[in-house]
Amino acid sequence: MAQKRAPLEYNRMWQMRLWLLAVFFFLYAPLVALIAFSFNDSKRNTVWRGFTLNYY
Amino acid sequence: MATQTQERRFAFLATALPPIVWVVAFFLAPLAIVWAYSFGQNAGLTGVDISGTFTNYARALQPLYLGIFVKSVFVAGLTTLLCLIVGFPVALAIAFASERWRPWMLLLVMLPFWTNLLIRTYALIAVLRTEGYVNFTLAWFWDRASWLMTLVGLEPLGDFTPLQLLYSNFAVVVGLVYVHLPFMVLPLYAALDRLDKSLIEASLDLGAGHLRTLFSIVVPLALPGIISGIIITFVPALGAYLTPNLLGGPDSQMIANVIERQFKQANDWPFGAALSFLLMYATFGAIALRAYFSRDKPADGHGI
Repeated sequence: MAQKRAPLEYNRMWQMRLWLLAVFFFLYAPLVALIAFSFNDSKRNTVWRGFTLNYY
Repeated sequence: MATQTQERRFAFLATALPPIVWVVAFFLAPLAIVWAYSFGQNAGLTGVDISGTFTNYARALQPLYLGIFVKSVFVAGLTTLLCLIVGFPVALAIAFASERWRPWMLLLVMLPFWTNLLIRTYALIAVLRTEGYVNFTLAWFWDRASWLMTLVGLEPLGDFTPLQLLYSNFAVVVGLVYVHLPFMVLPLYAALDRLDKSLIEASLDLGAGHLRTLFSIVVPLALPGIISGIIITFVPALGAYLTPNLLGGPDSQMIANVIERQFKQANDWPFGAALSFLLMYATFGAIALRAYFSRDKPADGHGI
């Protein structure tokens, strides 16, 4: 039996959680990708060629 | 007694004078100079002859520049609307989050905001360009779909042509929403947090659905905060310069880009000044509108 949520617990609605997930993905995916590719051993950040600390 | 008043006056002057001097010397005076420039004309390469002419304003109101103005207002308005739609549920979620989660969610919203604007814009370029992550993802799905088609005996799809997402009005709007989302979420959160939760409970108790409660209880009560959020998002979006410059194509320049070109490449400071002041008047108009809409609300601390 799924537990019934209290009326004001908006954060337990799956629609709300999906929306939050999408918004935070939109906010963070570009930044995370940029950070990840700063360790890329290639000048182009399209293909992963290996880990490097060269640019630091 | 007299010495006490004098002391108070001295204390007032000592605290008020530095900021006043600062604002006058570094804000009002330069602004006044630029304002005077807007009534002048170029004299030689570097000089500006302030002759009291209105030709700059007449030129700024030509269809070409007026069109860019209207377009900037449209783009900023669309950005604000999208920020409101995207940001409202986020603000609601933060306002109703448990004490433990709330600071973290606020931090999550503000963290990109503290990242350099240029870095965020370049991150978006990496996402949107033809060899970007959006196109990679679409190409992957395209290949899978193609493989599925061959599996069921259909002709495979042709080669995937990357979407031209970057250097378009679409990219500008995406970039502006990306940058201005915290401007919208924070005032909305402030307004929703102050909301009396028992009113929502009462509405749900008396049989209204969640949507009806949202639109007839939450939105009217949070309206000052919503209007604040709209103004706080709209004003910087209207003057956005970097985003249309880096993400926009030749047809997506906004008014700030035109102003920048007048001051730099075109070396026409009077015309640039006139355009700047028209933009400022538009901004003042937006702020006056906000004051007009919240004029008969009691001063109970709602709104910012």
